[in-house]
Amino acid sequence: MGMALSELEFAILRQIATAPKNKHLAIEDHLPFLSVRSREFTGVGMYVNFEDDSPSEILSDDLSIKNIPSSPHIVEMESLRYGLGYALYPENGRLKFLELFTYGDELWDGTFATFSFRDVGS
Amino acid sequence: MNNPLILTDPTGLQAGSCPAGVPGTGCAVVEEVIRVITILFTRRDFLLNGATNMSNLDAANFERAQNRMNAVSGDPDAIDALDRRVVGNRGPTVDAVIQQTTDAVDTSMTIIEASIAVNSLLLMAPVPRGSATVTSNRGLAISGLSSSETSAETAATRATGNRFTHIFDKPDHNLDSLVNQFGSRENTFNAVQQAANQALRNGTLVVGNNGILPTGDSGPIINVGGAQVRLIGGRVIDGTVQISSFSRRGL
Repeated sequence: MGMALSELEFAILRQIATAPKNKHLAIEDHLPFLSVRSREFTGVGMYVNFEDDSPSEILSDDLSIKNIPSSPHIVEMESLRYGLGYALYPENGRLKFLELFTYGDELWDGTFATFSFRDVGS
Repeated sequence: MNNPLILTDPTGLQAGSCPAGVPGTGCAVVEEVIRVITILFTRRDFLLNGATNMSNLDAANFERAQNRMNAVSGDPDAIDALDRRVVGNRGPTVDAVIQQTTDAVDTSMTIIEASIAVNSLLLMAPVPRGSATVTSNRGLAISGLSSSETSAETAATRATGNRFTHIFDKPDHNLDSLVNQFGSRENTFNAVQQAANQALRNGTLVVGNNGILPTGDSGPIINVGGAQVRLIGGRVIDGTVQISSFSRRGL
């Protein structure tokens, strides 16, 4: 069993799951079975590697390596001028990892106090 | 941003910023060291400059303190001269002065070594391109970043290095064949950058609000040297694409 998702990670996954384009992917069904295996901080973002213990009944072919679901939002936080983008990477019906990245030359150490989502269209 | 670290205390320890006399803290130790050194300097000045009627005992104490300091510093002649038959039987005053001197020397050596270590570390700090310098003086004044431009340049350089790490160190992005094709990560990144700018000029790369590129599998797939690459994230500034991430996963 891995670590619990952070508030930010959970909020991003919910944002992706509820994006109209992703409705059929049933990402939300996986959230109760999701934990964090590791976090890789890169200085300009982070990879959150998941353990997805979802039962086989909810695994879907739609969550394949060919899909990289996201949502038309950026995460705004005080420490970043341009915010964070994100994308989710499924594999074999499970959620494998979440990628977070900054824009431009902004550095990010993975910390945040508060955050919000801003619609940037698609 | 120019934000030099300037320590004006001649000891280099900024004792004035320490909470006074807090037992068990580094500040309390520093204050005690400075107090002892001040006493010793006062005593030395009295013996060397102000004493017109120096007693034999003071003279003997001063001479033996000097010998002891030389011995502590490793002078073999001084060590030989430090005959315990002389030092002994002089009463508590002599021993106290010698002990105090020895402790002060030991502490001073520690301070000096610490200062040298700090200066060495500062000199090993990476110096950004341009006019940035790293210098030091008795107060450990550091002029690390001389302008906001240099600071921004440093941040940009770090961000670029981190960006390469972010994109290329993740095997799931499946970029090894592309890096082999272009010979290096930098060449590969530049090739993707040029292809993205070309797609922007051609109108095949559609930008959202505030110049933000579509993210994830909504991100455009561009042709880079005959290979498909998906732009995972980025933005457009002044007609140029600033890439945040790209991937060949699933393509």
